[in-house]
Amino acid sequence: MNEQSLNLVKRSFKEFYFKHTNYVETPNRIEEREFGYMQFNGGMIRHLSFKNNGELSAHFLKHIPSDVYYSCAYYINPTAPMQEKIFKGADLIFDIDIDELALICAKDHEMWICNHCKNVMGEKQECGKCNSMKVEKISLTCDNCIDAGKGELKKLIKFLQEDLGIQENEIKIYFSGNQGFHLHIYNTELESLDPHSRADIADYVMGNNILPDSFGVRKNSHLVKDVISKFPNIDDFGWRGRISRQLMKDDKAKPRTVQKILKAGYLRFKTELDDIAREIGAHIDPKVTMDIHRVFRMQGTLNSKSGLMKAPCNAIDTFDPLTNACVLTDEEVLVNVRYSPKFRLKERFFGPFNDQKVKLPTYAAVYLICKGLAEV
Amino acid sequence: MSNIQFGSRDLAKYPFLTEAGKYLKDLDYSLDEFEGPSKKRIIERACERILTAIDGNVFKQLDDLDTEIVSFLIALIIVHALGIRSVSRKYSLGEARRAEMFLERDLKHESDERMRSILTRIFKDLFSIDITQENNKFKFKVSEYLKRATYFHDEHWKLVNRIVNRGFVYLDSDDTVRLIRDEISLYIYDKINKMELKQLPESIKIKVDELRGKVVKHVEFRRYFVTTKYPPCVHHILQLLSKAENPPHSARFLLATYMLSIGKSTDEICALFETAPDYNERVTRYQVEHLAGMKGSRTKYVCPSCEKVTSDNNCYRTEECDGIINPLQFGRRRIRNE
Ligand code: SF4
Ligand SMILES: [Zn+2]
Ligand SMILES: [Zn+2]
Repeated sequence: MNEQSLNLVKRSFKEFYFKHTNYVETPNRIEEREFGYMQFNGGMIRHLSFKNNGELSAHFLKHIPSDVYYSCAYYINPTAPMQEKIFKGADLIFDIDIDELALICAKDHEMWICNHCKNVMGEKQECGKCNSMKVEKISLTCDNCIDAGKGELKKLIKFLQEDLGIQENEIKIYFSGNQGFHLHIYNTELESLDPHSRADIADYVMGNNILPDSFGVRKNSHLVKDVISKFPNIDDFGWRGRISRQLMKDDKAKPRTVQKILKAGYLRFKTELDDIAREIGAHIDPKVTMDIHRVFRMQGTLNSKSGLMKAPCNAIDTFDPLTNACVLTDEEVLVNVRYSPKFRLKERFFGPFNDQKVKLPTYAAVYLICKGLAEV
Repeated sequence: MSNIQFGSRDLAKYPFLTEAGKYLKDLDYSLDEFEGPSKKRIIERACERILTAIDGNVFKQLDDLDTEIVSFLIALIIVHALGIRSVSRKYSLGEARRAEMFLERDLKHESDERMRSILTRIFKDLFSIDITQENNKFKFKVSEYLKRATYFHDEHWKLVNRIVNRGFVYLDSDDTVRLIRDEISLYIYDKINKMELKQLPESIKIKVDELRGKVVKHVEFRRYFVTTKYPPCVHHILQLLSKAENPPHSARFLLATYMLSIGKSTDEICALFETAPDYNERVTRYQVEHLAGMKGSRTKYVCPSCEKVTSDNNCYRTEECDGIINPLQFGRRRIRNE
């Protein structure tokens, strides 16, 4: 990013924080949280603590961060070094990364950019201009991406509510500001769980490591009658029911289904279970859920990878992140776009652009600059 | 369901239930006058319980119910008075295994309703958890289940392989018993530590001293055994621990990874740490299992090199260390040369 570009981004972030202090959502139990932020020149400041919303906004208005984070954990001493913070509990969090879903639309809006000379390429390769090996993947988000993300979101919420018993009002959903969704769970019983229990929950919603034995199928099972009494009905709770609904239409088909499973053998069935789980499980990043000391992007702040906001999603179906999270002004600016596929922000479509000067509303200009595709 | 009365037979099997304490009151036992031949028998019985547990066995007797109940309580007092951590731990585990044995047996013979009421009671008494039942299964809150089950490494215990619905995990009685064995052991261990003792009657005091002699020999023997085989750096840490001193983190890491590499079990390794002043069974177990790659990251940690050990100030090189670059090689070379 050249200096003028950086100035434009900084200026528009500053304007946002001045005009929209009300967007910034102060986390609950603020005085027990650790805050941190990224500066535009790169450095990360951590171990901050604020007593209230006013103190927090004042700080960020003064410093204009590129990204703002706070701990999902509650600490006795949020400002102390890690070992002395004293952990009291942490919100349970989930991260759905659309980029990890391997969608077919990716090829339309995915590109690689040379870290060194900013040359944009269609596929991952050594930079054609400067031969640098350091190339970085960039992707713009399309409507198909958003639908896919929402699909994962819905699967996840079903597991959380129907199986884990989490109430609707304990779940808060956000667009991450770039290519994903964040879920925050506020539940006092789950708050005290250690990383292993959280990993176990992550594995549950993903459906990792479902054992044939949970379906009555053991390594040495040969007879249908031994298995059938332990084989789930289609209306059974949890994964047992979910899987059996994929395997058979109704309970009458049980003997046939079990027979087929036994014929194929334990290992085949295990692979089949893994395949089904991959399809009906929720795709989340388990590392995020496990990590109780993570600082998570703060709601209502801007994401410097896109200039979009981490925006609350209250109704999944009608929520449009490309509109609801697009909060910078539409004052027009002139920018040089190296390359960009067609993309949408708010109700407008832009591009495709190839090495050209264009007038864009600030929100779109900042979006391309943050992605590394344009400069002032 | 909870109107089922616990008879002395139940209390003899599960003497850690709160009702056992009341029972003791009804029998009008008071510590002040714990003298005389009948009391002597009980004290003997208590010592038997302790020695059986220290030897790693399960005390199976269930003949004289009153004696069984009271001897458990006396054994707690004696173990507390001994004040040796490893004894407290072994004793707690022994009693938990005894309870597990009875629970498993009862599950086969007792009526379902009675059995379930006993399990429900144990949960209520010991862990202040209300478990409910539905369709012959026990229902645990997901969070209560996770706090316990993540200490098992078997995939079978993973949430994904359980029946989960609306915030509850459903377990059959067999699994419920397994889930609580460790808890019972920790509960008894806790009970021993938190006990407040006034003056001990002479009859018990004598026994405590007698036992101490026996037990210390036991421990000494183990320590002697320990001193001969290990490289100086490891040996030094073991010495620190045996003096109830606190070795630094890097030293603990060395000890645990070394022991894992030579094939010691997590149980054996945890036992090495139990004399440390800040010993906490759960945490230690968790950490050792983490190093062994059973938990969390699943990466196995390897024993650090002599160079690393030296830079951490944990090296106590002797000439026997000549020519080795990792503590694991200590002793091996020599064997090959001979
Ligand atoms: S030389 Fe190696 S084995 Fe010997 S004491 Fe030092 S670290 Fe341990
Ligand atoms: Zn280049
Ligand atoms: Zn897309």
